Amino acid sequence: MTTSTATARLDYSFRAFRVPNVDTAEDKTQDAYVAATHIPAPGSAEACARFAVADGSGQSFVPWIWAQVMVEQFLQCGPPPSQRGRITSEDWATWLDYPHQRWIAGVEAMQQALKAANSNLAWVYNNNVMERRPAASTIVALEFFDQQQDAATPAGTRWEASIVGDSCLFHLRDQKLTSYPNLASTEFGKFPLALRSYPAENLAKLPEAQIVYGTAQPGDVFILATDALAKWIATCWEERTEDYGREWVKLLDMAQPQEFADFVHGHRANGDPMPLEEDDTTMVVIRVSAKGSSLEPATLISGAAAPPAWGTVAPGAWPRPAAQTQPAPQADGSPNPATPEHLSANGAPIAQAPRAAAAAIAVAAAAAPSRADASPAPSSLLKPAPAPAASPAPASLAVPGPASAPSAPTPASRPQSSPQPVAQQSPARNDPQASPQITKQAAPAGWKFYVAAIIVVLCFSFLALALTLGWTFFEKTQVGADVVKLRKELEQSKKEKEAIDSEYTKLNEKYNNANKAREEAEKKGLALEKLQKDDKSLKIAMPTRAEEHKLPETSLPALVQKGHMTETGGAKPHAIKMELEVKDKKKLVISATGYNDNVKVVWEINDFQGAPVTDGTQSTGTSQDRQGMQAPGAGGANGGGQPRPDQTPPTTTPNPIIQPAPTPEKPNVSPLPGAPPGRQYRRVPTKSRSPEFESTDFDNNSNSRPDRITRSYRSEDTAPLKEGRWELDDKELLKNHRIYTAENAPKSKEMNQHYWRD
Amino acid sequence: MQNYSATMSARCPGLICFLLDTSLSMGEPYFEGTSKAEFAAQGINKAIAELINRCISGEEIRDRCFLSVISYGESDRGQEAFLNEHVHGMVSEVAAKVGDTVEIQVFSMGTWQEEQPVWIKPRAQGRTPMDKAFDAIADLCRFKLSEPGMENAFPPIVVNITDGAPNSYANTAKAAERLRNLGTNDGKVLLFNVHIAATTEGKEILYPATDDHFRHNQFANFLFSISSTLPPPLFRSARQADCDPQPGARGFLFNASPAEFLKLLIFASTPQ
Repeated sequence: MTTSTATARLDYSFRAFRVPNVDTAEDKTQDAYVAATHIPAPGSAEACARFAVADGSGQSFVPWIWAQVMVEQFLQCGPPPSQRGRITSEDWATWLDYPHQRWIAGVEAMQQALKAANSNLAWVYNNNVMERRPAASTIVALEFFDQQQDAATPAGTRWEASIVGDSCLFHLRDQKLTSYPNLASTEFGKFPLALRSYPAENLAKLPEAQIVYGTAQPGDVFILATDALAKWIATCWEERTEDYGREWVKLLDMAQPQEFADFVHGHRANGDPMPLEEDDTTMVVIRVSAKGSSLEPATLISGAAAPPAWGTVAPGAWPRPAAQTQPAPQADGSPNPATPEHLSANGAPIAQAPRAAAAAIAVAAAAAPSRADASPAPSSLLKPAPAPAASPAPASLAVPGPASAPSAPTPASRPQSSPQPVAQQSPARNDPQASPQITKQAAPAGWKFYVAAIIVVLCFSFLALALTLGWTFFEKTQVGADVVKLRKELEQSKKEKEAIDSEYTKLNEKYNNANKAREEAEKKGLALEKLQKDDKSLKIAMPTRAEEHKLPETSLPALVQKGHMTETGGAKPHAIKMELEVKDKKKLVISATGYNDNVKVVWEINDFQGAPVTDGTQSTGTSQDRQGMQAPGAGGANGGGQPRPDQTPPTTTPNPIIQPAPTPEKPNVSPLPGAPPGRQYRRVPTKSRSPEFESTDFDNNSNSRPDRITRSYRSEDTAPLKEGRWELDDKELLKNHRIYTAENAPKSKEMNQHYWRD
Repeated sequence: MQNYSATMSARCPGLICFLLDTSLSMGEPYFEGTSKAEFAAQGINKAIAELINRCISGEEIRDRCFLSVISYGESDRGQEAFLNEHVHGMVSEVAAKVGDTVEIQVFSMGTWQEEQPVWIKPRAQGRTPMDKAFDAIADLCRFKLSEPGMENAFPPIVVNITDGAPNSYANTAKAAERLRNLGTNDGKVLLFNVHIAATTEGKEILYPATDDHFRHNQFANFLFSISSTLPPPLFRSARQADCDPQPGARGFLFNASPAEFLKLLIFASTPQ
């Protein structure tokens, strides 16, 4: 099986270290890591080594479970499918679906345990679950590919990494260090990107993740580190002092967990010249070497196991992480009893699944009842005796197997052994020791989901059908017919309303136009007045248009003959109509009529052969009209304005200008139906409220102030505030509300800020 | 070195104190039928619950900070500034009182029920001896900071919630000055002031950097002058909490609405 790859095969040997923060229990470390190698099936494009480090955010909710289930998801299924080297937020959401289920189960189990233990912290968990507060974790996931993938890259040397957040991948080759992502030591912030445990949130908050890749050579060293250590390494390579160099070499050659613990604690100490931030610190070191001895057993290091020796490549399926997410303390160096068991469980088919179908298979694995996860240590933790909800298997199935030892302590007495729900939900394993109880427990999450989904879909379709049928029958009944009729009427009335609206708009336009015309006319009238003041010559000007309109030359003789003629000031609609009439061949009667027939002005000239003299006026116009009406001036030939003795004395002051009939003032008539002409609406300004009324909130609903409150005394609206006083009619109001009077308030304070009860 | 970069941890716990005005004026209505005293008490309860939430690790609580609440007004025994016996101790001690001497109330938040322990109960009596409260908290800080290992800790955070002017501006200013001169190698004591008032009473002033807009207002000016500038970590967490302080902003709210008041309480008490 190794023939095809033997030439290019590299060996990946690795070590993993983790030291929790000073105030964090070993089992609540928020960092998780996994490192595993295996020999993929010949011809498949599967990775031959996978390494991941996740750093749960301390501010999120139950991050330690989340970090662990995420790295295990990566171990089993690889990274999310990428499109052209990018992982979209949807891909992440799909990929995180199964870890989400496991995390939820874990949180529920914790809730149950706390409830059972009657803990006074249960409320914290209840609130967080209710608020859907997520766990958050960064991840850096690295894969090596054994087989040749494309012509460009040499066989067996390709690596790919998916990174979210500020956990870093370092690649050291020939004394040159490359960092992914490329962060300077000052750029490590408190709020990095993170994957959240509710997939919907990731959709909104995650930018696309770029897959980084490269090739590996013998002699290369890869380091996966969480933020505190990554920052330290970045500083180290920025400073490049001798001290840092020594420490760097020490870090690379780290072999024992204790060494790493000493390293971390040493640099965390106050005043250390090369300070390491106080945080959970995790490191995975991978050394790449030329093909060495192979066919060792598949090797795995997860948070659970910490073999002191370098791991090596081995054939077979991906080893599975220990179901136990709470690792045995690393520092004491004791091998985890679970490790040999799950290492022997080679051949689990799940790991051979193509990466694209990873999520689906993971769900299926949870649903398959034939597989069970068991290693003695976690399964005993699975079953807290006093928490029935944590083991929902039917009683008939509860065959006590070797795994469910009755000696499980209660969670209250041993907080370290709290139920580990991750074990219940972790991907299935073939293990002969699995108890049937656990088998049943592994099943529910998958099929329940499908059944529920089917039921919901069925319900919706039935509802839709019922609604359709119901409407059909309903239309045929009497009431239904009425409803249909009413609907039609409603539509018709809507149409009518639209028609009325459009008509209204038209009328409005018309009204506006009329107004405009009127304004123009007024302007021109003013212009005319001015003109007339300037130019004293005799003119007959038509009133509103300021147009000069001379009588035709032939008209006077014709007038004498005919005795009557009518002249209109142009063809404009608002022109003034003038009538001239000759009576007794001597007397000239001129009458002018406004365009809207409401003004009539009449002059009589007794002897038009001579200078005309104004006589009695007869007008139906308004007083304004009468004022504006001037007598026809003494003729231009006269120029002096001296009336002849035989003429009737003028009733008004003589004016050389023949003042035409003034603009007939028609009131502003609205063309809109119903609006009375000329009526003006005026908004009556409301009285401003007194300041003390504003600031005293008698009633929380400021719109409904009680009417019972009356003002007993008030001098003026503008009177100083201290004279105001409120009085209540109702004694009860006094009890429920505080009343402030300025007399009781300290003099130095402004009333609208501070109040004191007497 | 005053860079406010220390981490709160069990070895170097932070010190988070609330000063709560319980003078008579706090009985005024504030928000949806609750008085200022009730709302402020609820807010502090929420902030303490959030703090516990951040410190929780499984069934254990990491003792990352020391909590204390000092009320000023008039106690039943006639004291002017007095300690709340339910909230005085490390986070785990405060949390341990839930269900024992501290009851849990259930609030309905519309779609879900929230369980909220009640450490602080509303109270409104007496005048406003703010200076006494500052002196008391200064004593407490001096005592706590003198403990071994605390010289590099994150400096104490003091959030003062009030609604009225102090009895004496001069005395209070001096007391605040004494308090703000305390500190650790990591920085001076951070004093934030929140003045709460119903919306009808005036314009809201949020995280001002200068006093340009309220020079005429003696009380606002006074609170501004005794407030600390938001240091970088708190500035970041304020941004994270949907607040919008400008660079150089001080931790000071005037005529604060309920929403802004709660935001400040939460982010100021959980800086990390």
